[in-house]
Amino acid sequence: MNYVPRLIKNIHTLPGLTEQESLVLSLIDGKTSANEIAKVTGFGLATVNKTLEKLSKMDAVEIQHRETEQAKSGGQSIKELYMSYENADLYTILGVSENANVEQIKQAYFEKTKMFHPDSYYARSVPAEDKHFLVDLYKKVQQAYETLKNKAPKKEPETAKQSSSAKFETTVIKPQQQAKQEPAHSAMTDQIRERVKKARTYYKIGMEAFMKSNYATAYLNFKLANSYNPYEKDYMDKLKETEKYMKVERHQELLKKADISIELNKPQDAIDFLKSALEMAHEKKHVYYKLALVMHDFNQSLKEAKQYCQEAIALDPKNPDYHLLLAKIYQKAGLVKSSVFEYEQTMALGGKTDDIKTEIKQLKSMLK
Amino acid sequence: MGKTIGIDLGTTNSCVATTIGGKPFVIPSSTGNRLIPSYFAITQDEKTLIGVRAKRQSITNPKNTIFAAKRIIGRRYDSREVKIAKDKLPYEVVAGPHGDARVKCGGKIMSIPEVSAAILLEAKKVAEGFLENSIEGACITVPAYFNENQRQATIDAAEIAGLKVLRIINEPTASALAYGQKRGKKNELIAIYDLGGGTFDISILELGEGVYEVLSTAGNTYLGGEDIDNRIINSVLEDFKKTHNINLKDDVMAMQRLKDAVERAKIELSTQTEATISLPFLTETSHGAIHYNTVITRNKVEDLMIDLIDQTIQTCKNALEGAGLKKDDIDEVILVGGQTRAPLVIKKVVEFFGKQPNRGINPDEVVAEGAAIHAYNIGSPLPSNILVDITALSLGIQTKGGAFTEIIPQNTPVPITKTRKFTTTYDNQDAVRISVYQGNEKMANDNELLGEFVLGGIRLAKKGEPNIEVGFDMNSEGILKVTAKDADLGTEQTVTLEAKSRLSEEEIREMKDKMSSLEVELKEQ
Repeated sequence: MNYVPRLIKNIHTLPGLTEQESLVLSLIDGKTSANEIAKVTGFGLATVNKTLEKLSKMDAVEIQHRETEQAKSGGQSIKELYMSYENADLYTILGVSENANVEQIKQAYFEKTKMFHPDSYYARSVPAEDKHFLVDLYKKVQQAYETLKNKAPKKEPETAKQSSSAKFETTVIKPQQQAKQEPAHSAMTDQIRERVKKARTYYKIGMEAFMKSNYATAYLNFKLANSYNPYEKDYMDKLKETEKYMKVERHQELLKKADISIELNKPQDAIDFLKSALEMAHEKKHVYYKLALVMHDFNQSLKEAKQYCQEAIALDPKNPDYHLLLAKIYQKAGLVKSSVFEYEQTMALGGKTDDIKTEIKQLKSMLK
Repeated sequence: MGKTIGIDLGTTNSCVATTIGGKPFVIPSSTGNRLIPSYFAITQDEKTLIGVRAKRQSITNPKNTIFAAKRIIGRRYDSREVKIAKDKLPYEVVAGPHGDARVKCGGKIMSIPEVSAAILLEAKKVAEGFLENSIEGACITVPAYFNENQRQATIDAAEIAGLKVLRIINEPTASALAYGQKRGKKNELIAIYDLGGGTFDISILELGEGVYEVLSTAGNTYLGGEDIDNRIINSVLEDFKKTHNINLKDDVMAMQRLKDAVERAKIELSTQTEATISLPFLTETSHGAIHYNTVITRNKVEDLMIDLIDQTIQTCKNALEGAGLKKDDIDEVILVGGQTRAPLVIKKVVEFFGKQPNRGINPDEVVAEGAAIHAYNIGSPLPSNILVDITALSLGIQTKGGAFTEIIPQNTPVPITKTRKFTTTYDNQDAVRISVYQGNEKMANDNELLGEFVLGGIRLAKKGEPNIEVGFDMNSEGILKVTAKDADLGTEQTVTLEAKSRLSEEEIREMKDKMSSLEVELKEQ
C-alpha cells in the first residue's frame, strides 16, 4: 500500500509528538508518498504507515484515496472491488450502519465521492474496463445516498440503551419494513452482518451449556447473543428461559447453603442465604417458613419469625406445618391464647394430633 | 507538460485564469487588463479585432462588431430567444444551414461558435503570453441553465480555437470552488447568486471536506445586466424623442454610443447616486448637431430594474425549494457577476436571505478562478476537491399528445443512468420515434430538442403490449447517451446525443483552419 498523505491544517509541527513522528509530519507535502517518506527517513513503510495513521487520527494529516490506491497497487483489483459491492445493500455500499443519521450518511457519501467520483481518477490512466466498473460503482453510491438520506432519521442515531422489551418490539416491525422497501436485499451492513454472525455463535455455545444444565454459562452466552442481535426472537426467549432456570438453580443452591449454615450452627448466615433465596424464589412460602423456623429455633427475633410465618400462611393457609410453627412462636413469646388458636388450627388441618393435644391441654391449664 | 487554464466565457466580458501552486491566478493581458471584452469585429480594411480593440471601435463600426454572442450560441434561428435578441442587436442575425443562428460580419456569414472561438483564442493568447508555455487544456464555464445544445456549441468553439476542453462547468459551481479555497474546513451550505451581463443563475451547494455537492440550481438565460442597460436606453430614447422629436433607434452609431454611455453611467451609479450622460454630436439634424446631456439618478435606474431583480429573488425561492431547504439554512451568500455590485441587488439579496453577502471575492473574476481550480483538480492524479454537479434541466422524451416525459429529472447528480418503460400507441406499430428533449416545461415543444432517432423492428402486437425501454446515461462530463430497446426482442438502438444545430465535422475543420491563420495574424498585430 502506497499513498500520498496530505496536510489538513498546513501545520508542520504538533505538540506531543516523538522525534520520529515529527520528522514524518515535516515531510508531508501532498506530493511525497508514504513509500518515499519511508525511504528518506529509513523508518520502514510499516512504521511510517503507523505514524500516518496516528497523525490522521489527530486530524493533522489526510490519507486520501486509500481504497482506490489499494485497489490499484494490486492488493485488490477494481473488478474485485466492484464485485464485492455488487450484491451489497445500500448501507454496505455507503458504509454506514442501519441506524445512521443524515449527517453520518452525508459524511460517508462525501468519503465515497472522494474515492469513486470519475474526477478523482480523471488524470490517471485507468483501463477502460476498470473505469466502467468505477463509474458503475459511483452510481451505486449516488443511488444509495439519495435513498438513505431521505429515509434516515434527522436526529441522533438510536443507542443500544433501550430496554429489552422495546428492542423486542422493533424486532417484529423492522424486517417487514425492510422487506417492503428493499425486497432484493436483507438491508444489513457489513458490521451488522458481522454482529449477526457473532450472535449466532454465542447462541450456539449457549445452547450447548443449556443442554448440560450449565445455566450460568448459557445465560452469559445468550445475553451476548442478544446484545449482538436484539432482533432475533429465539435469543430473547432462550435468555428468559435460562434466567428462570438460573433463578431456580441459584435458589436451590441458596437453600442448600442455608441448610449447611444451620448444621454448622450459624443462624445468621442461614438467615442471609434464605433472605437472598427469597428474592429469586419462585415458591416463596417455603422460604418464609424456613426463615421463621430458623429464627424460632435459634432464638432470633420472634417478631420477625412471626411475620415470616404469617407470610407463609398467607400464601398457603392450609399447611398445618406453618400453623404449628406459628403456634410454637406464639408459645415462646408467651402469647398463650394465640398459641392455642394456632395449635387448634394445626389440628383442624390434620397435623400431628397427639403431641399437639398435650400441648393444648398444658396451655389451657396455664390459661386457667 | 503545459499548464491548464480556466476561462469564463461571458456575455459581455471574459476572463482567463490559471493556477500557481494550486492557487488561482487571474492572467492580465499584456496591457494589464484582467477582463477581455467579449467583442469581435472586422474592420473596413478587413482586419479582425478581438476583445478590447474590438470594443473600442464598436461605436464607429456597430454593424460589424459582434458582442453578446453568448445570448444566441447553440440556439435555433427560429427560437424565441433569437427573435428577441435580433431586435436588440445592431448586427445582422441570419439563419444558418442547420437551422442555427449565425451572424453577418464584414460581409461574411459566421457561425456563433466561430465568434466565441475568437474570444477563446484571445484568452488563449493572453495565457500563453503570460505563461510562456503552451496550454494543455481548459475548463470553460457556462451558465448552469445552458442546455446541451448551448454547451455543445461552446465545446465546438473551443475546438475551433484549438483548445482542448477538459470540462465545461457551470458558472455558479466554479464560483463555489473559488470561494471554497478561501474558507475553513467546516461543512456549509452556500448560495451563489450569479447575475452577469446576460444570464442569471442561482445555485445552492453543500461544501463538505473536499467535496462540493450541488444541491439545486435555477436560473434564467435571458436576464442580465444588459437587460437593465436596455431599459435605461429605452427611457433615454423616450426622453430624447420628447425633447428633440427624433427617433434615435435607426441611427446605429448613435445607439452604440448611447449603449456605451448608459453602461458606464450604470456602473457609476453603483457607488454614486447620480451620473451624467454627455454625448456631444449625438446626431445630425437639418438644424445642426444635437448634443445630448442628461443626469440619471440611482432611484430612476432602480425603478427601471426592480421587477427584474424581483424575478431573480423568485428564482432563488425555487432553487431553495429544489434543494429542500429554508432561507435560514444557508450559511453564506456569494454574489457573482458585475451586476451584483448594484446596491439594489445587494439590498434585495440581504432582504431575502436575511444576511449580508460574502464580500471576500471579486465578482468579475471568481468564475474564471474557479474554472482554473477545477482544471487543476481534474488534471491532478489525486485531486483535493471533487465537484458533484447536477442536471439543471430535466431530460426526457416526447410521448403521446406531444407531452414531455422526463427520464432524468432536474437537479439529479451526475453521473447517472435512468431507464423508463414505454409502449406503442397503436396496433402493430413496428417502429417508434425517440425525440429527446431538455427543459422544465410540460410540453415537449416548449423544451429544447436535442436529437431524434427511430427504434425499428418492434414486436408486432396490440397497442400497449410491447415493452420499450428507454435508457438515459449522462456521464460526469455531461455527455448524454440514449438507448432504446424492445425489451421482449432485444432490438436495440444507442445514440450518443449530438446537438441538433451542431456544426458538421467538416465545418469545424474548416473553421479551425481559418482560426489558426487568424491566430498568426493576431500575433503579428
